[in-house]
Amino acid sequence: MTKSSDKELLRASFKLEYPYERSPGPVIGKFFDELSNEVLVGTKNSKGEVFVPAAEFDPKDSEHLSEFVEVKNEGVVQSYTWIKKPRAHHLIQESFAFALISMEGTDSAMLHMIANCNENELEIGKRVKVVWNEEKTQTIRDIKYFEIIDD
Amino acid sequence: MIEAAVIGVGQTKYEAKRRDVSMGGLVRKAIDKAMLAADVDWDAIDAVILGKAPDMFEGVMMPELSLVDAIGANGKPLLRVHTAGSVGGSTAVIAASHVCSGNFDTVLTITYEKQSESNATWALSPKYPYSPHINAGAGGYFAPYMREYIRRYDAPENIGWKVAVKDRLNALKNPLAHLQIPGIDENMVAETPMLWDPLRYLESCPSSDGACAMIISNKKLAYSRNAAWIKGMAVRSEGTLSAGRDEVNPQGGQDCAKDIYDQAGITNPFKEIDCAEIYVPFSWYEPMWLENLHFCDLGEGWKLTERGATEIEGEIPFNMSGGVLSSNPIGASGMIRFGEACLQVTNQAGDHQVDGANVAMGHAYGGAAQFFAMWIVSNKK
Repeated sequence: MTKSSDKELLRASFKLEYPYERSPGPVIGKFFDELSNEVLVGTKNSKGEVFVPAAEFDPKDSEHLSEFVEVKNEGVVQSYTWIKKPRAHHLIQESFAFALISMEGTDSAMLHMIANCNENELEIGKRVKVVWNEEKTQTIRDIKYFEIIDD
Repeated sequence: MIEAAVIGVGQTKYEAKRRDVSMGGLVRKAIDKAMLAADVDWDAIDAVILGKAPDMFEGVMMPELSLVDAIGANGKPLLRVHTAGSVGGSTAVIAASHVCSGNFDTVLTITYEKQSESNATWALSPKYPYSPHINAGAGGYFAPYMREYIRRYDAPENIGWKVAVKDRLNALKNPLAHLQIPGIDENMVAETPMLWDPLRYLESCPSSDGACAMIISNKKLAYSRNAAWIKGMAVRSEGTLSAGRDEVNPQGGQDCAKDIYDQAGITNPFKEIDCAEIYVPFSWYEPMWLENLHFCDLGEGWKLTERGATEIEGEIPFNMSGGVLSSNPIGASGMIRFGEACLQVTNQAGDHQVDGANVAMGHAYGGAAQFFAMWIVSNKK
């Protein structure tokens, strides 16, 4: 019995793509809208806990969240992963970190990037601050990245 | 015997574009209304069952996962159901099955579609290698089935127009319905452009955003509430292009209907069912389903429509809410049928209430008229 090879079997590549539109609604929408004003807003639940990025519903008990609070542009690194050699698709082309950052006075963390530092300077608990993108798009990219606050 | 009842139904307003809310916000509006109607809070919910049509419609893969906080599923079992256009109905059946299993007292079930975030028709016709790219949309796919129905039973052209008018007049009595067309008549329908011969524009469903939720519980909660008891429920499937398949009168639909009638002890659905919310996204599906669901003999469906039997005051009212022809948030469209049946038997349907409705049917179909979900509800245990 002869073994069939790949080239004997038909195959065809295809590309599937559609245009979409996203409506983030009044809560998530306000978070992105305020980023373009260089302001970070979170939402506060009835227990006084604050979530940044703004959460529309409490992640624990699903309570509606609609009370907005402005928070400082500084936070603490909860954890991170170091990208020594960024690939072409990365937004930063020098070594950087993807990090979970808990903004000051909040009870949640957001995923973003930390740049302008060496791997040995970064550690869990390190304080970081927002570096804004000059061009605003009302997206999470209005935050260019975070950088370490010098002690 | 099924020990499950719907104790709360919640629906959003159906509109072309709900740009005022996020996906989570849309879904939650329906949930909040269902929980209010059921008089329960989150502590009472033991599991969450979510259904919607293909993820390609909004471009969000597995949205049930990112919606966990919006649908209150944190720390609870969560299951996604997907059976094309019938999904709203099959999701209700799966949710009720969870209660019947005895493992859950009370289940929240939720379905939605936010069609404005994409163009669903194209997501239904992907361009794949080795298969013809029909690019017909749902109406184009179903039009030949309707053409064959008309030929087979020599049905007059205006039957489709009549259904289109009847359902839109009903929609005027339902403030949640998407299409509100005061003064609609057969001439208005007949003058609209031919979309997919023999279907005209106003004989077709709209594209809507919206969500529908239900709270299903066992007797612990249902005894003390205005409950719609589930007397029979079933789903069926069949192939798309299998030899011998009758697309006009699919076997799966016939079998599914027989199954729920047997469970509910119904021998004459035309007489014993007081009203029905049946999935009619295109006008001719009313007479076709009248026959498929055994409300009459073959070839008699269009005559029932013609003589007004399916009007809200008729012998077997169909789609009192305005039906899919008036509101079509695809993933939710089946559950709206199931939920509206519950509203009828619990006398909560408002201006589109059928007087004295005790037994009602909810129905959904999907794919190429090959996936079916149905249930019978009653206000008596």
